[in-house]
Amino acid sequence: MQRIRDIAKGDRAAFETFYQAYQKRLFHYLYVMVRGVDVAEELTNDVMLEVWKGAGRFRGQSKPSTWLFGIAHHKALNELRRKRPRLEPLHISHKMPDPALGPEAASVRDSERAGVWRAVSSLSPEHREVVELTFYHQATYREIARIVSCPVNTIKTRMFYAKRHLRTLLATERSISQRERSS
Amino acid sequence: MNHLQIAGLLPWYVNGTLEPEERRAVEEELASCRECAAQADELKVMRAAVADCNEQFPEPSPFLFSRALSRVAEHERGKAAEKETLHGWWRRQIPVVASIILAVPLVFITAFAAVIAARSFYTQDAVVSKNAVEPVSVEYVKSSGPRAAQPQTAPDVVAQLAPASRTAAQIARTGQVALFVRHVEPAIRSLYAIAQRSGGDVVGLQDDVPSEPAARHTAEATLSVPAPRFNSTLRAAAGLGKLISETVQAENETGQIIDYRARLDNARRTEADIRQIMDRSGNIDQVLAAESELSSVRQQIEQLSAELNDAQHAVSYSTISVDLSSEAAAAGSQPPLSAQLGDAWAAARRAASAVSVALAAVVLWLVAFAPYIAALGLIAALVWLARRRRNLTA
Repeated sequence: MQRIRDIAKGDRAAFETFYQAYQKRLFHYLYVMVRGVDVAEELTNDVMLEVWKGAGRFRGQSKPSTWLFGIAHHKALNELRRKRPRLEPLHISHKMPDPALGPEAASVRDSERAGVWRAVSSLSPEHREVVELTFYHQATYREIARIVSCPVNTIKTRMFYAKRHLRTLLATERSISQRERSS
Repeated sequence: MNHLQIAGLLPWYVNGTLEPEERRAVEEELASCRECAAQADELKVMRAAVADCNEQFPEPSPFLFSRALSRVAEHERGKAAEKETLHGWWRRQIPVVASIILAVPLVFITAFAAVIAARSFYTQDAVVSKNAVEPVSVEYVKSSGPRAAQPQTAPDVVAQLAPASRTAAQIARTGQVALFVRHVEPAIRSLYAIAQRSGGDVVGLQDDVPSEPAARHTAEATLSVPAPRFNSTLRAAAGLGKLISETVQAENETGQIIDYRARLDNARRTEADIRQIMDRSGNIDQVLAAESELSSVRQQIEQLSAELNDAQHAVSYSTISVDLSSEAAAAGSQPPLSAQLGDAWAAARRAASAVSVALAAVVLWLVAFAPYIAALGLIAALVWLARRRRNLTA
């Protein structure tokens, strides 16, 4: 809260700290929503600029992350309304290569991850948003309701359907992956 | 909390964000419900897969923050420029607004003054043109009869005076002034103007234009003005030139008017008596004698009425005789250049005086209407500013 107050006063150091603290999470959320790196980066800075401009309006009624993702939610929906970004394949970065895995096992794992990405990306924006916020950002269902401006029960319902679709999609991806390996 | 409600909480049990009592309820359910436990396991796998997938997401550009800073700086510059533009705009408007504030009253004042001055000159020109067609080389008496001589320009003055004259002292005043003037013609024109301003008229004029250049130009004008304006008119007439003599006479006509009225009433009663005698008498000689007497009485009544009217008019309207004589013999038909310049200077002073009065009047009008003018100016400025801001925002 203090950091946001400092940002409201025009403190660029506070803004940098805030930016670095939330940049990765914000980018991931937007990447899942718009499914494109360039657009996600652009939107990340759009959201951060809104933080800079609107920090004075933040009253501390929610966590800063909830406020931040609320802005990002609206930015992402606007972007999706404006144009539907093309689904990009997952860019595997191999940031943490597991030395215990051999090349074949690593390939299998990359393939599985790509399958998960395709499955998650195939969900509707509302569903993948709930999945992403719950499973990666560790958001409570109340925070998610606040971010997307919906009742709590709507969030639970969305998660119910998202889980069901994701189960099917993941099963399909697994079978495809197994067929590819066996062939 | 029932099974379905607990099942709905499982995703957040898996991500570890439930409240303690919710968590306890879920854990109790998981211990007793195999289906819920299976769902929880499935959700853990999903969560791990999604989290693992996220960990493999591409990193944002290392220059993303510098780009963000650039946008922040750009935003700040835009804000400063907007503020500066607005301030600069206001600064630029100061001379414009000041010019408008000064120009609007000046335009009003000039227009109003021009109208006043034009009206003033028009009136003067009308007098001059009226006099220009009148013959000045022959004796000219406008009217000699009291009824015809009564100016038609101030009937209201007579009406106001008539009732008062019955009760107050009936004074008939006459005045004579003799003047040396530089030029007789302009002085005559001024006399016409003075008489009209006083609610009277020039009822007689004798203008003797000299036949020889060495002779003096003389004129005699008779003014008839309402009695209350006698003094002011006399002063104005005397101011036209160098005063040679001034005479004021006042005659108390009260006794004479009362006498006229008494005699008139008596004559009317006599007329009525004769009529009765004529009605009663059957003798033709007596009727003829009465008829002759009646005719004489009626003549007397008419005469008395006329004399009474004359006396009353003499009281209501004062007569001023003005003798004008040129200071020097006329050198030619055209007045000298210095005289023309003097006349022009006098006309210019009169016009300047009229314009000054008009300016003062306009200033007073502007002061009186200042709140309205200020309100209109404020509204116009706000509209202008709003449009300017909209353009800047755009």
